[in-house]
Amino acid sequence: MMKREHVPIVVSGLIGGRPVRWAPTERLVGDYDGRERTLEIFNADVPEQRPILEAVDRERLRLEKAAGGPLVLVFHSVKQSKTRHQEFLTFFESLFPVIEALPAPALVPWCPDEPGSRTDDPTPQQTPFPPKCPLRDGDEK
Amino acid sequence: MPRVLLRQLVRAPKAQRAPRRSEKGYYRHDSLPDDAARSGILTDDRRRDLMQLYGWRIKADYHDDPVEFEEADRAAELARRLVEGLLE
Repeated sequence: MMKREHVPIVVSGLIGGRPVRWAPTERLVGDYDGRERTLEIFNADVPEQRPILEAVDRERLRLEKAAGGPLVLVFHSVKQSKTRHQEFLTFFESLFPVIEALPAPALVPWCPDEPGSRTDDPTPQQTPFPPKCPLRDGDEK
Repeated sequence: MPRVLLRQLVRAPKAQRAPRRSEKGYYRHDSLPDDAARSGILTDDRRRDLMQLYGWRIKADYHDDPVEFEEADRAAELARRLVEGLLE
């Protein structure tokens, strides 16, 4: 069974390896429903946010079970991620070798517009950790 | 939260209605999209609209990062679509 601490990594795996974390309480002000279940998703520009939400939503039952209730998703654009969260992005990158060494979970890579990468694909790929999405036209290298 | 959504939730047949309430007595905002969809008030697409709007609202009011212009534009568009769908 998935544990709460696995949720960010599993979600990251569903959305092409984008950095994901539980929102640190020091970054939140005030109280709201779902505060303890707020996931921050980085490197997600507005046009990508809806497909990302849909990819996460398709797995929501097991994610919500692990999280203890409905997830609240807060997105950060590529620019905002770079300018305000570079430290976390670097830390997340450093986790990749550790994650890749773990026993293969049944994660399905997801990249926009890439055939066969959706979680509802009848023949999902099984990878130790999803590779990063290939760069598309207009992406920064 | 749009009043029209709450009004429809209150009017939903009792058998379908099981919205979760907070300890303070209001409908919980984090579970409202699921509750409204389960009651047949929102389609699956509009449920996701409401989820997305809630995330932006949290970012705007409770997170120390600002909502960006493009996000605000998109939020206005989704909110309009959501309310129009409820009024149809």
